[in-house]
Amino acid sequence: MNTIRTHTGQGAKPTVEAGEGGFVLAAAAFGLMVVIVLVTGGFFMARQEARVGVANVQAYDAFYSAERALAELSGANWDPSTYSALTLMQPRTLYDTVDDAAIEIDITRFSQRLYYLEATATMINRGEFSGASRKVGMMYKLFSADLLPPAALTTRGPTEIRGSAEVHGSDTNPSQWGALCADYGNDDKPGILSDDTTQVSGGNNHTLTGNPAVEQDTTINDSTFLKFGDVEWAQLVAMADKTIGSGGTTVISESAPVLNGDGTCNESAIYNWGDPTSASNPCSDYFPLVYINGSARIQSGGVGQGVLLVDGTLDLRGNFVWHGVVIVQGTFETQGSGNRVLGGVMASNADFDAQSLVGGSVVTNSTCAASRAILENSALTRVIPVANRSWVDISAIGG
Amino acid sequence: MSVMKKNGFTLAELLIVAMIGAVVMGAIYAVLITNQRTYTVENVRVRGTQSMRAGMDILFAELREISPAEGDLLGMSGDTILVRVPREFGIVCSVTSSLPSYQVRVAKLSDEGFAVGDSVFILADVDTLQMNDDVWVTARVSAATTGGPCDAALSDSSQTLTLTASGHAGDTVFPGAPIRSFTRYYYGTAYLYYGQYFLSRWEPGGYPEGLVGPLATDGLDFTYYDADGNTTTTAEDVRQIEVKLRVESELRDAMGSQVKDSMTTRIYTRN
Repeated sequence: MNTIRTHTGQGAKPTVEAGEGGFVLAAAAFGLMVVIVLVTGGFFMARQEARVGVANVQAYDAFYSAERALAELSGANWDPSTYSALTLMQPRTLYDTVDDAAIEIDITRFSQRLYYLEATATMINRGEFSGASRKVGMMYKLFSADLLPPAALTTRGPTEIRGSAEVHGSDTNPSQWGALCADYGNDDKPGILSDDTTQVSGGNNHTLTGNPAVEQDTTINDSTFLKFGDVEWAQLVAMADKTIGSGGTTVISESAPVLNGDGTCNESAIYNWGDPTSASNPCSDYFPLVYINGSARIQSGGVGQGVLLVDGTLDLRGNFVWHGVVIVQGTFETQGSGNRVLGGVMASNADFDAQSLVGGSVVTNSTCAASRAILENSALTRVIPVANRSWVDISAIGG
Repeated sequence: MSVMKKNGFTLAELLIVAMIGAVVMGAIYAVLITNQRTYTVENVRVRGTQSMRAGMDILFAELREISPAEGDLLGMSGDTILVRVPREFGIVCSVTSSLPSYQVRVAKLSDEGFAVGDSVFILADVDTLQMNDDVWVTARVSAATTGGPCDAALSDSSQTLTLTASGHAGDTVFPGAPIRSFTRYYYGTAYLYYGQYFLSRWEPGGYPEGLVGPLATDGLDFTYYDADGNTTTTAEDVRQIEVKLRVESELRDAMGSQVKDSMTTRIYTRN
């Protein structure tokens, strides 16, 4: 390398001398360059590794968000009346945001009781790492208390059908419900199922039909009316949406749907037991579990739907319409005209008193009415993952 | 006066320059060597971490879907596991005939769909009102055709499968029943490429297929836990599987330690 030296003195001129050639600076520069390349390479690798790690974290976050969404929907957020009404194989899509994940859930009802839920979670608000997405699916089965009555009227002991009273075992859908009953099939049952058919008697004008009209089942005993699959009477009572009475006989003048000021169904009104007569009424999909502590006399008409539990005697005095299930531990009696029970009645008649259906009362088997009363009550029905192998990692199988 | 020219260096100057040069070069060399070793070590570490992460992803995806309660955990040891791994997935839309073979139309929810010869599990609902009588029955696909969606509202195409079943009859399978095919696989380490151990899988009686590696000689450990978090040797009781992967290299880092790393996770079986 050349250097410039400045000489001072008379006549002196700057001169450029031949360099004292060295290689230290060049070697140092080369070394620095190599170091820089190595450091850059190392930095690049570390950054790549960090990015892969962060991307993995995003993927796991999406995965767990999708799982969480399924758990929340099938748990506290399951709406039995809405999802039981889904048309078969017509997915309904819900959208939500949970933390930093955009959630999309497809709910598909494949049969009356089997649902497939598929949740897709996509990470958002994560800057350049947004977009990680995972999809998981889960099969659920609708589980409910086994409250479907085996006949239009299931009872024991002396039972009289007099006047123009009718009991029908042929499966009949409520005329107002139309397509809501499309998926429940047809299941004709006995008109009366009794532990002793010799104690079933009728007057001249009564009507008793079914498959058969009267059937005997000697296995009917207390537990028939106290144990329903895995659910017992005391558990049903504890799950009741409404408890009326305190042990004596409660006189109920009229049960009717009640609306809030904004037009929604007022489910807290004690005698609002839903509206079975109009599919457009806001209370038409309200199916309460009503418990009467003691006996009840329902007079002056009224309507209701769901499951009606009565500790003592149930006495219908006319123009009372009920769609669903009625379970009575005492006797079941009707008087007057216009009483209509569509679904099924189970009357334990534990004391073997004479129970009578008189007047123009009609009790008709309806699988649809009984099923909806059970399936659309969130206390009686919940979705549970099907036995093992219900969980599917859809992302992994490319679905 | 004339300016006297200096030609050359004194011996002392040369010695000093040589000495300084040697010191500087030595320092640079040391830095270079250290950097190169660090680079190599980090490179090995990163590759090892990536191998372990990829291995964990594979095992996580494969093992979390098994159902030990249904007998999917066919063999378990400290370094090898034999499982029935679920593959294709569909949901029955309709059942069209019954035993000895029956046809089901399924909404196909996985990419490839079912193929003739597949072993499948299908849910027999038996009494639709009961939960505790539901059972998964095995069947074999003897015919498969692909068609349009089960319903216009469904985006997935369908397949019509002829199933030859054992056990429950076709009339216990109802629309909505899930159906899954499965494959039996061992997961363990195998001595493969370039004389190194790899995380591998193989079908019973088959040859190992390398998945991820290289791993350490004892690069894979399984520990099995029940629902209470206690170790168990009963396959049906397993609810968590702890997986430990190890990598190691002959390289030594700047501190003289052998380069090795490990990663441990617990996989909770979902089914």
